[in-house]
Amino acid sequence: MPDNNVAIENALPRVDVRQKVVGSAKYAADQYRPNMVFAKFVRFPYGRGKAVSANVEKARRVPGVLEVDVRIDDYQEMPGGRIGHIVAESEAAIEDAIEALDLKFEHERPLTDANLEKQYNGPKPTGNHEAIRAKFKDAAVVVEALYQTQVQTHSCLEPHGSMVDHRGDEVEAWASTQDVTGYHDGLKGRVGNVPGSKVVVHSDYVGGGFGSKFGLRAEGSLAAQIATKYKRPCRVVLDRDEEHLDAGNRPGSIQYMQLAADKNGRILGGKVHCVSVVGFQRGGGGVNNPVGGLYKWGDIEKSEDEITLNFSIPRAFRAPGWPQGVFAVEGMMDELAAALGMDPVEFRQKNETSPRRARQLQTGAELVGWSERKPDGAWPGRVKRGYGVAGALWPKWPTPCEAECRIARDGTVEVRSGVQDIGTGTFTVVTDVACKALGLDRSLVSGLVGKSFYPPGPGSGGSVVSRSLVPAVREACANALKQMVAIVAAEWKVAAADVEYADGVFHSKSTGRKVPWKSVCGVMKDSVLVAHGKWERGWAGESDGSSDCVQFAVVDVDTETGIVRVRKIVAVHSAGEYVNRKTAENQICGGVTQGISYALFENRIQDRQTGAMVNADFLNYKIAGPVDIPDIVPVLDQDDSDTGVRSLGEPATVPTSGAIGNAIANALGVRVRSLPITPEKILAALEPKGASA
Amino acid sequence: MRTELCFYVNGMPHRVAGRDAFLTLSDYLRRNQNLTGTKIVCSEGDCGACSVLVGRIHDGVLHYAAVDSCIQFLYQVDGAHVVTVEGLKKNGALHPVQQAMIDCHGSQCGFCTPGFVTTMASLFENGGTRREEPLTSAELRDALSGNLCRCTGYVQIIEAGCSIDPASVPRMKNVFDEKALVADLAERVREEVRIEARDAEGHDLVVYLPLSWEAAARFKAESEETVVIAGATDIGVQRNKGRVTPRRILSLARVEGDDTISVADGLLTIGARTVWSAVERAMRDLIPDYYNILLRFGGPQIRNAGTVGGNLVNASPIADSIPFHFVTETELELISPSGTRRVPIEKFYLGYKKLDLKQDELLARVVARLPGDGEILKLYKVSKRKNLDISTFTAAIAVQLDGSTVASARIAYGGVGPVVLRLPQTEAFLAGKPFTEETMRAAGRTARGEITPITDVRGSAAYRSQLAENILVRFYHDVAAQAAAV
Repeated sequence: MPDNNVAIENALPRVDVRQKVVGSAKYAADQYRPNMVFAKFVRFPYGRGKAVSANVEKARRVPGVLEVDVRIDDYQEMPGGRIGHIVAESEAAIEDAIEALDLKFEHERPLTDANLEKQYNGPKPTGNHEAIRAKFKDAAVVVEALYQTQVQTHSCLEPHGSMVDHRGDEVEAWASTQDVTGYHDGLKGRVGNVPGSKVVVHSDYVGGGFGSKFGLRAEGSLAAQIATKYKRPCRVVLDRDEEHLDAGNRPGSIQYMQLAADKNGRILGGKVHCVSVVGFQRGGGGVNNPVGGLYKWGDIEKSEDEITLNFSIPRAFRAPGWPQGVFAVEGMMDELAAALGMDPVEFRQKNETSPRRARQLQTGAELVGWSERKPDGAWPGRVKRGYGVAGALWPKWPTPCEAECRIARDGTVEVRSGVQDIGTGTFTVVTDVACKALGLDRSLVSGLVGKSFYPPGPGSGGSVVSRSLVPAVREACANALKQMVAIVAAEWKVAAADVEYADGVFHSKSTGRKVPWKSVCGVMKDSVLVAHGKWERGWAGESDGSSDCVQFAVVDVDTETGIVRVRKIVAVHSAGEYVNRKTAENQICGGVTQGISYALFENRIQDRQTGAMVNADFLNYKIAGPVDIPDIVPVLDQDDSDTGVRSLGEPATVPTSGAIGNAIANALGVRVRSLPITPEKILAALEPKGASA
Repeated sequence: MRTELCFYVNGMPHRVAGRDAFLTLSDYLRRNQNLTGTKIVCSEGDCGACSVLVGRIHDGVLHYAAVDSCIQFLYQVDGAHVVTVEGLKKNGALHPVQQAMIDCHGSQCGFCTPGFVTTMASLFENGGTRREEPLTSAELRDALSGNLCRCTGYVQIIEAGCSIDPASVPRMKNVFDEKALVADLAERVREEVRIEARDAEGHDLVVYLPLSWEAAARFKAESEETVVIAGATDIGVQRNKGRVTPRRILSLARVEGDDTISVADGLLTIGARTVWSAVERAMRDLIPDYYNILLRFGGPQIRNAGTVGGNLVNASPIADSIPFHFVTETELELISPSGTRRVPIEKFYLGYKKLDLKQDELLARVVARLPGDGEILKLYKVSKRKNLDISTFTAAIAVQLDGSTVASARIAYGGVGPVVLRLPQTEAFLAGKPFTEETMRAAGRTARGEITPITDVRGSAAYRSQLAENILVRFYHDVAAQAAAV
């Protein structure tokens, strides 16, 4: 039985990093082949409407163009809607062909903004608390508020893309995917008569995923279609604007809450109405509020709705639905605490469901200097400092995973699994877990992921890869060792139970004989010894654990320009045992930084008249840069219950915006309840009259 | 007249003629040379993933600086040495920056990594902050503000930068054969270059790199189609977005002189071809407030390529340098085959992107008046993100004090109209008033009434009006101590 208990906790460099720093790591977007063709979607630029004319003949005459396909009168409901494609010998020829097409469109007024279009018809704060007070007789305070969050795009640095090479009887693809197994499943049905066994997918390096790179997707599908038709390699890689328009997003939300608490600070319950603001195809990670298990909510009456806008379908985005929910929920926690005249940390302690988080609240408060916090708005001067806190948890979503341990006669070991490394350090995890399981060092052991012909593993979603992979790798290595022991036992003519193995040496308990690893490998009958390992739900060693975290933020807010500087984030996380301390800290710091970016900068904006996205670039769609990053203090919090590798990647980004929102409210004495918290919203909150002047 | 480009990549000579001479530098590296360590992420100079070092000859040695190769055209590196991430290793040994990024876990998905590595390597070159002590965290944040990471490992990347001992870093002149490179490139940069080609659709392409302003102005005058390229940090973006296709190009890269800065008789003269990073270095001691705001003009890679003249002639209403030049009563020296003339900067801008610049004229020099004794100058740039972000609002405020009274004031705002504006009513209001918070608050209200900003993606009209008012109060608080000492 495999188990998930592994305490390695080293801080060695990642095993695949050298190729990245010298520039030799080839991503899907770097795959160029002789004889390769380029394909690109023709897109509808507006929110709602259709193409009414296109000069397809002229586009086809552009030198180097092989194929032009445009659907006229195909009604679209999102900017970036795919209405055809162009195939050409070069990207320049595609650009010329798009110009030659001279597309003409008809478009109607789209729905671009739930507020502007007044689409929200749920409850709003009215100040009428009679019903809730009637329900909760012990209510000392009632707070109600409406929170909103924006649409955020994934903004992976490597664009979504594929290069598919169809050679008639076999197919090879290079894909920027966070699900190599799923991509292969999608591709093998779309390459003519080539059997799945002759279809190979490589994703050795993936330039970021964050939830948007599952499956074959439209660009993989187009590359497969064109490669199959022309029997030539075909590259489809999105531009930055296509990334913003048609590569997924975190949907927005509108959240109404009315909550009551008693005089001792116990939440009694209340009403929650959650609206997910999604693209016209719906779906994709709507808001999670109230967050079950985060606090004792009491008796909550909850309703949900959706508002659809003329924009692309949302996709899973690092902790889908959670940052939206936690921003609002943690804001309400502070509003309740303020109404009760209670310290926000103390108030959370009273309603906390997890002893682990209760401890993290204490640890974090000490590290951040919570005692320096002043009452809301009381920091002196024009630049005001504020302190805020928010928490999160992450459930376990166990997913089956397989691995294979291959030992060669020269003593080297490959441990393979069909998972992928999207920057999380999976190559390193496989390698170091195998090293520990086999008692060998990195000079002999290679952990390998990112190929479709490796044993299947989960996609990188739900933060499941490491926790599912570690026990599978351990079992594969344990099974391989059993075979090795059998070889030694046969050589020595002793029972297998007589042979022990540790740190590269086999040892007979009865005779005292010893033989090193490499000598045994040298006498193997087969050139490669292969052993499998598999981990499934319910097996022994499945850690019970959800992951918990608490983050604290310190901000300075300039009350004249509205500019916010985040000074410090203390992020206290439990993730069970970890393999590599630095990769774990990478996950925390990275999640926090994305959270800062979500809290302060990121926001998809559409033109209200046309529905075109006006900031489909990095010029006007800003993500956090090096200057925006505060002192981030990652704390890997552990206790005796923290056994097994647990999830870390997603929870790390969940509470940051809530902590920052609360810190800003503490600094200002007024609260901005909508993300991103821009200087403009801050000035408007401080001087409501100025905003309407 | 040379008819091919001559430059070096990672120590090897390259000669490029015909259509390829019109490629972007990144396309040439990735597609023609298979140097795919240079990554393409945004194609507009906002992410730095395509950063490479470009070494240019100054005073007989190569000065290296990082630029965004996706918005540089190949002809701009004629006579230069381009070093990509693949070229940083010396005899197979990693560059200390590469080693530090490994040791500190400064790379996650790795897609931004080559850009961070090249940018960080440039900091140890003579174009950067070459010195003995390790870089500080604050310096690194500014120096890397032209690079984005989404994973996001800024903490570890900055840690990597701080851990590097500058003494251990081999300079490019030791990695490559500096003598041979300089000997060859010094010859090349004395040659005029003109390349003609035809694109796939049969359009004529021509790029001309003259050696003198006169030749440049004559070429410009020949056709209205002429696109003048200095640093290309805007036109490169426009081209990548498919908004322009320059076909008749005048590159100023080779024009001699006028990439220098001089101070005499209370006047600051800046050659139009001077890149912003050179201005930045010169202003550090001369006008510290200008220096501080220069650090927020684009990112370092943009400042290493973009020029003073380019920023002024491109004439964006939120161009970061214009308010400064308005309050320093700058005059622009325009050069044509028939001579030169000077125009006060306020008269240069006739309307949105409309200039008093004739077909045969080029901006050669910028002459600003340095702040005098008792004159207080402050510059402001408000943007959503602190660095590398287009301004929502910009302001330059210069106040001449006579004791505790405002003798005169000059105020210029950007981002509140189709061009940068002086605020004559507010200036008149301030003259003769006591320099107090109350005065400045009242001046703020006057200022608000003088402008009619619009709402756009960077901010609403109401927000801009509020900033226009608040910034004068902020000015008072920022300089109150300084004013007391005057």
